[in-house]
Amino acid sequence: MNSPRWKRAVASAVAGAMLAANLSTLAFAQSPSPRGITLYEDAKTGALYRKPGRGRVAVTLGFDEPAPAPAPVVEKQVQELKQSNEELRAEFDSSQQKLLSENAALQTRVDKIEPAWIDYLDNFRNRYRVGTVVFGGYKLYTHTGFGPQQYDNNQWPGPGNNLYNSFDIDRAYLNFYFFPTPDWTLRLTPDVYKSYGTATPTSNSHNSSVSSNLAGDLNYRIKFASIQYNKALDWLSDATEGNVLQIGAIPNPMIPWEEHLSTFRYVTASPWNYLGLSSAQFGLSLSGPVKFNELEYFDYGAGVFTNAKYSQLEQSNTKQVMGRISAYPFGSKWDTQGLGITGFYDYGYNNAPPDNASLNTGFGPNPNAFGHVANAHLTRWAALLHYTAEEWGIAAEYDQGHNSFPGANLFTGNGPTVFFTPPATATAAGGTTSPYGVPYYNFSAMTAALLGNSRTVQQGFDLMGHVHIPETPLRLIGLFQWFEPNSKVNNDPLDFYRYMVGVEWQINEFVRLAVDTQNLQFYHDQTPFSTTYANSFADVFLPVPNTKTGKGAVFAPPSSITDPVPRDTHVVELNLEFAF
Amino acid sequence: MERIKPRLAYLALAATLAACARFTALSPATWGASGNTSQTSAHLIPRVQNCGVLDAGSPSRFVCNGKVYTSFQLAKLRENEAKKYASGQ
Repeated sequence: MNSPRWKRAVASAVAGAMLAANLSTLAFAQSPSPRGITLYEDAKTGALYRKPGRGRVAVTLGFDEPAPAPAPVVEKQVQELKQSNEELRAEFDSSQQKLLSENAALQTRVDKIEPAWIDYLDNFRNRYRVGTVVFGGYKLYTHTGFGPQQYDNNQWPGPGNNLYNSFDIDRAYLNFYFFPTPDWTLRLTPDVYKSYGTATPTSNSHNSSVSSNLAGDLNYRIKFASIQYNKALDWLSDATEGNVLQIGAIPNPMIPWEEHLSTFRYVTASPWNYLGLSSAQFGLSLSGPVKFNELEYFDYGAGVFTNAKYSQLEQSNTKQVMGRISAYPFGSKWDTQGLGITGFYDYGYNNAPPDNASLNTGFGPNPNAFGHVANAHLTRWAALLHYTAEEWGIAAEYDQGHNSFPGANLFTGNGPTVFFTPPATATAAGGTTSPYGVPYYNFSAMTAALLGNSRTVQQGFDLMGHVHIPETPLRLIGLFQWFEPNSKVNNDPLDFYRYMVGVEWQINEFVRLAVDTQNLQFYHDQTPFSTTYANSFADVFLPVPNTKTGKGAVFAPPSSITDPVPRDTHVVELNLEFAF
Repeated sequence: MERIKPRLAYLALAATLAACARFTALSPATWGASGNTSQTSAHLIPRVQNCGVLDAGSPSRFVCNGKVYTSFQLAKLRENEAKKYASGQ
């Protein structure tokens, strides 16, 4: 029993010694001496021992704390450290400011960056203009008769429809102008129109027809579509700067100019426009002012145009030429300012296909009454004396024409049905009833005889003007037109005059309103008109076979036409213009 | 020397009369346009109701006191005047 106890005691002592040694090591690691750990290196092998021995050299490992520095050195180091910190802070602040500044500049640049479409729109905006011109109003026809239209889209029912009234849109331009460069201008102007007619095929030559596409309501069509060169004569001299060359569906030299002169186009048409000369045709024209020392002494327009107007199909193989020149002897400061003298000439042809030229035309029982009228030429000319001031303007005009006012032009407002479509019995074959008993047939045949032949001469005189009523937004406007559709006819029942008087209110820069009365009066007395005399112009009053009786019986024409003078038309109107 | 003095007097009188004649030749309506007063100043801006119509179109043009304006120019002048009036300037 004693031996194990001894062994256990020795083992316990050894274990305690080893544990003590380990604890001392741990103690070193936990709290190292300020001088570190001292070991002993064998000089030969380099092995380290905890205890000294032969050939071993003491080696101290661990923190080798320097000796405490003197106080001034520490303070210097502290100062250097502080200075370094401040420099770092300053550098940081500077960098921060620079970064903020750069961010702001970047943001500014980003803000200025514009999408491509904005740049495109800016360029586009400076190169186009869009506007509109609308005429509308209310018309009360206290008396209705046959006659020319006041202007496009202005038709009314014929005699027997007194107090007919209507609200109308007479014009609705959409004006598009494009200016790709200062030299060139493109204009597109669709306009509203009122379609009339039955949906039957329309003949477009002697041997062909086209189906109708009439819709019977307000439609849009191109009124103006032109390409314009704005420096056509700039090369010639300073005096001709701004003269323009136009091609396409363009205004002719006379009508638009005269509408500017009269100033009240939205109320009624100018004289030749009323008589059938449209304001636009397809063609080529040169126009512009001639100026010296900033004053305009001449203004002209000349061109070659289709015989058809802008809304018609050109059928002829000829063209018409028109020219106008206005002279301002004292120089005009703006447009037509001051005293002016104007001349206009138009030479053209009927809009008829070439293969119709060799065919005779006529009316009723005589299909050859007018001869080759389809091939006849026509002329229109006018001479004007005018004076325009800021507050007023007046113009006097003399007109003369040749074959320029057929019955179709007289009846653009409305006309007798039997003028456009004579009764079936009004033919060389005759029928069972007399055409001469059909209402308005004799009047229609007379009109055709007097105006449908190729030897007609027209003559007219016009006076128009406007004056501002001082201290008011009102102007007085007026137009008088006297016209002989065929001056070769004595006591022509179709001679007429028309007049318009009204008050115009300039509501603002874009809107005008006029209250006016427009009147068409065929001024001759109702004297019976000889059919023999009518036949001297065109042989349309012929006996018509009476097929009911037969045996050579005929329906004889009357010796005279009773009540040959058409009824007057009187209208009270409210006209509105919106121009933007 | 004595001959020169009457001539100078005549010249001075003529110049005075000419100046007076020019002043009286200017009507009140033209003062604004003659340069002493701006066209855009109160009561002298061109009003379309007092202008002559040159052309009804896109845009319409008018002539006022010898100067041609578009409808937009006249409208802007009128609106600016109304703003000035509203702000009490």
